[in-house]
Amino acid sequence: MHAFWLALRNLQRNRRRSMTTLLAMVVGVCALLLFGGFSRDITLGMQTDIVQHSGHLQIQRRGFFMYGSGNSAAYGIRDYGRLVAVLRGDPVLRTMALVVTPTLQLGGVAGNFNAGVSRTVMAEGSIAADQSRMQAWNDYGFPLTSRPFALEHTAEDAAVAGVGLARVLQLCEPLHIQDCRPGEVMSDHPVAAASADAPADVMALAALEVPAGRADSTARIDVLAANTHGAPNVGSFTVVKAEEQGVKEFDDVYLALHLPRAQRLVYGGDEPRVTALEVQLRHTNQLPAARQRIEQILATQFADQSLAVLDFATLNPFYGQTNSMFSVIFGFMFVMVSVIVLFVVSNTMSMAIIERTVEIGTLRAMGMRRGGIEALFTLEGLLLGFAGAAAGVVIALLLAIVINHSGLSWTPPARTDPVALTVRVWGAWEQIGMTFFSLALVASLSAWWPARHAARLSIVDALRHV
Amino acid sequence: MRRCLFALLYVMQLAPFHAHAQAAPDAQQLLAASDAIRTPAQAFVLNAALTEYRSGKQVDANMLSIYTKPDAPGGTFRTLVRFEAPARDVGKLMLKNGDDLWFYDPANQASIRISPDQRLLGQEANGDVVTVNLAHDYTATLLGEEDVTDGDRQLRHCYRLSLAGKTPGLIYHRIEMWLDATNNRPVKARFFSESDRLLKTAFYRRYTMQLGAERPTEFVIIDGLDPNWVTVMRFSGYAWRAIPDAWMQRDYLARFRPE
Repeated sequence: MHAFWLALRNLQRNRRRSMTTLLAMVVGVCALLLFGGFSRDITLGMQTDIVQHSGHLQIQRRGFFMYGSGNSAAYGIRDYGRLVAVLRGDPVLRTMALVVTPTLQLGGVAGNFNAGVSRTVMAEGSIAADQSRMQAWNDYGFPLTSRPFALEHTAEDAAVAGVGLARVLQLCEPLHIQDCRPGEVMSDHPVAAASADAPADVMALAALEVPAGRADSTARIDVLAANTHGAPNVGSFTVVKAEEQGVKEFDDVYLALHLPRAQRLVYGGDEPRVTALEVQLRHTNQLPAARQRIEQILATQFADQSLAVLDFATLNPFYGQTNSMFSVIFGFMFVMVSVIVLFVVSNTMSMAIIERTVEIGTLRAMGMRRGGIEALFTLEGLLLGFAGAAAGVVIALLLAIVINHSGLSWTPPARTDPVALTVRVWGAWEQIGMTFFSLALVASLSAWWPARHAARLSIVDALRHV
Repeated sequence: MRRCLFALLYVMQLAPFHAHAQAAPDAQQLLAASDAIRTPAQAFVLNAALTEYRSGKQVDANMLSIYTKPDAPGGTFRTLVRFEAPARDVGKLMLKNGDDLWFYDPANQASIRISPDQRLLGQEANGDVVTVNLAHDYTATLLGEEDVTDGDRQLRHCYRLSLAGKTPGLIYHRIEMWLDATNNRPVKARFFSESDRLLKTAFYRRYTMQLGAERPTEFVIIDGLDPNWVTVMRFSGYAWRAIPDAWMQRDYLARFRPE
């Protein structure tokens, strides 16, 4: 205790130097904590996005995730209606799951043949009402306005396309898409200027066959898909809305359909199937328990089909990759801040030691041991570290409150509209504790080395030091 | 004597009924008869001039050699098509082997299978219209008789047949055919997908004597999805040909040499 008060009073001998060192530590700690809060915010925001669109868990045929993208119709789940009913009615799962809904993924070609253009698409059939419910999930309290699923309350043959897809299919006018440049469009089958006309009799035959009443004002497209028997099937859909999907490659192929029509396209008159069942839970921390329960149900009641349960992190590698990237950046920043704290504190202590060389010599001459000198200076460094880290934590919390209420916003990558800029420092106690203790440790270590050097000074030279 | 006369009269009275009973034709037989008119029953070769029109303008023109061989008498046809013109397409091959369609490019010596949905967008679907063996793959029902405009824009009195596919893997799930009532010639056909969308409309015209029967040597195919796309196929150079089975295999495509 005596040593503690001594160290504190020693620090106050040169207030300005102590304050500057403290300030350096405060800035370092603030930077780390605010960045940590920001990356936490991004992680939770991504998680909210993913869970809103595709739930926490998906039940699929084993192998579909790895091998099914080339032939999704072959990986259909039979008797999925019974499976949905069992999952919704299960007493254990009912407390955890908010939504259980089937979806069908299929690949095909979408064409606007009036305009002579077509494109390969990844279509997803889903139940619009369930998807809207899923999009209301906001367990982490983000300041979001929940938007309903665009297909809700639309006709059976409605479709929602990505903006890129709508542009390629030349549906700009009926869907009111900005930034469409019709002059740059080339049709699939360009006609050379000097080509011959078709013979009149052929054109007359063709004219007889044109179906009457083709309303061209709506955005009608045809979707061609291969059914399970390998024969092609065609479905006609009306695109009611073009929605930006964030990532351009996805935006160019996205097509959302109602589940019954999508099933008819792929399975025709056969028994309809789905490629995945999406399960959305109340809280993400219920995921392991829910997964276990679902696997239990599948093993006992649906053992005839080999089904697998996958979580959202497996299904969205981008999530794990982004988190890893932020961890690496955080680690990098941590090392930098530690190095800066190391140099600042060790510089301060070195200067203090040089100024107090006579004092050290006097103390040693009076009988203080080497260890005592070391302890004296190390304690000063430790005190600096603790005080700086504590002040940094408090100021970081205050700054977080200021930022969160500042109304700033930014648009993250793979998103289309801006989100509020928030940092989640409050609640990240593990991160705060870790930052606090590690920087305090760094400060005391950086004081220890010069202190060690001071303890080994020759007493006589120290006494004579000017 | 009188009894014999009554018997004779009785038989003569019944005769018209018999004639009426025979007048209602068997739909499947009609179909088989029209098939026999459309395509020769044994292995043959012909040249096709294919012209493609989009929005009233000529877009593409190809010359093809088509080698066709039935699997068994009355069975499915297997078809090998070789591109002869234009120069950029010379040597390319297409093989229709049952439900599969293979494309071979001599430039990189690779053969690939054409996926079902892509088939609908190209000339391969028109090739299906030409080579399909209807009596083998479809069950016919007679819908009635009606007058329909034929390929030369003349009215013809036709039987209207509805053909339902026997196996689920066929490209055209349902076909409507109009056969000339007098001579069973195919006049017009409509091809539908499983979802009952009209995929193609075909007119058969320019009947000339080829290989022992009056056959349609010109097809006009109007696409149902893209109303601006019309293909005209003109056939010539019909000849019987002994086609070896080996030609109709995917592995042989790289070694194929026309003789």
